[in-house]
Amino acid sequence: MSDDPLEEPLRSMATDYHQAPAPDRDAMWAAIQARRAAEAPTAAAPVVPLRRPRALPRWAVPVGMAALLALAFGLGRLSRDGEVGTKAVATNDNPATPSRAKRDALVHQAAAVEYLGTVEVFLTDLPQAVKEKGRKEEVSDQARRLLATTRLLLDTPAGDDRRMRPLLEDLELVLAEIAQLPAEPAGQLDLITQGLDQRGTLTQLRSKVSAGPMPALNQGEL
Amino acid sequence: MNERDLIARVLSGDPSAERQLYDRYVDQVWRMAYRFAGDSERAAEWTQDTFVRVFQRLGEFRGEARLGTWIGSITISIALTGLRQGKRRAEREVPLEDDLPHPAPSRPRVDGELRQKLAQAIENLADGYRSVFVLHDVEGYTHEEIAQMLGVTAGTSKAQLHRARGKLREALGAYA
Repeated sequence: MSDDPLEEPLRSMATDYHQAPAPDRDAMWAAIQARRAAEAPTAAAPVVPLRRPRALPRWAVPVGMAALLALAFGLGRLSRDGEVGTKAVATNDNPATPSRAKRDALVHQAAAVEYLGTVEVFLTDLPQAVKEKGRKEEVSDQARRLLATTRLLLDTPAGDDRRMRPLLEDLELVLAEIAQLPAEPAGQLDLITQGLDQRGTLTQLRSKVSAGPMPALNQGEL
Repeated sequence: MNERDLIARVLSGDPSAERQLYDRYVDQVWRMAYRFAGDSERAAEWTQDTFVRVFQRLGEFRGEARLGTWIGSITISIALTGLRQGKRRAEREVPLEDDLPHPAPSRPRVDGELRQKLAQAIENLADGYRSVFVLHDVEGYTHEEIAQMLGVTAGTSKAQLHRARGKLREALGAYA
């Protein structure tokens, strides 16, 4: 499929694309050390499932996520389309009227929270699912789909949320690791679950899911 | 010192081993970050982000891939997130009436102009195409390595590269 190399001189020019100058190694190292020192280690909270993990039908997750994201993006687009042509600066004279941006954000947050719930169930069920014979491929496929959704969400206003973004980035890496589980996944799985515990990822997920979307709306706004 | 020993020493908290690991991979990370960022400031930020995360998560590295590939996957993830954020910022700053006519391309007479057009065309590629193109055709990674970095299959990487090259040819039609 990819044995169609670019023609010269494009090929050689491509290798010059954004060619890096020499890095300032010491300055970057100092910055890295400073950041690591500033990031105090947080004790991993005990993992207590909020709900019993359940086996979902194979089609449920992709269909549900696709529908939810379609809704979120559709509503977001509708709101944005509604603003085109009204170039005037939006003034919010009535404090009870929320801006479209806030509503967009709320819609995306709701989609993100629903997605986090799906990921939480997936990660909670993961050790058991991998142990079950013949489910490894299914798990990898599901991780791949969730990874695609994560990347989509990072590209929405939900990805701008400073509380949500680190979690989504963490999940992006975890899901990429799960998508690439080796044939004998036990060891890798242990490391993934240990990492999840150490970073408190499941706890964060559960707290986000139980809190629901947290819109920056004033009282009475919707 | 081999990779396994180096990792073990870093995990045991040896600061000189941390610096060794950094020295061993910083050029690779910096070069990759710069390819995506195109400027030193963002490339430095992404390089730092990468190593902070590498040290946080090194205990999870299992050795299924090369350490450099694993570090590359973290770099790519950070770079793509950074690009998305930059794109969103840029979109917010673009005026609504941005429909000025684009000048028709004229055949460049000098390499410099073609180089500029190519760079622009690469930047206009969708993130997935751009990642695979930069990693394969610019940085020289194999499809297997790219697959591990991006969490896709090698077949997807090949298909994305094929499409990326097609898009570039299309964009440079008048120049190539």
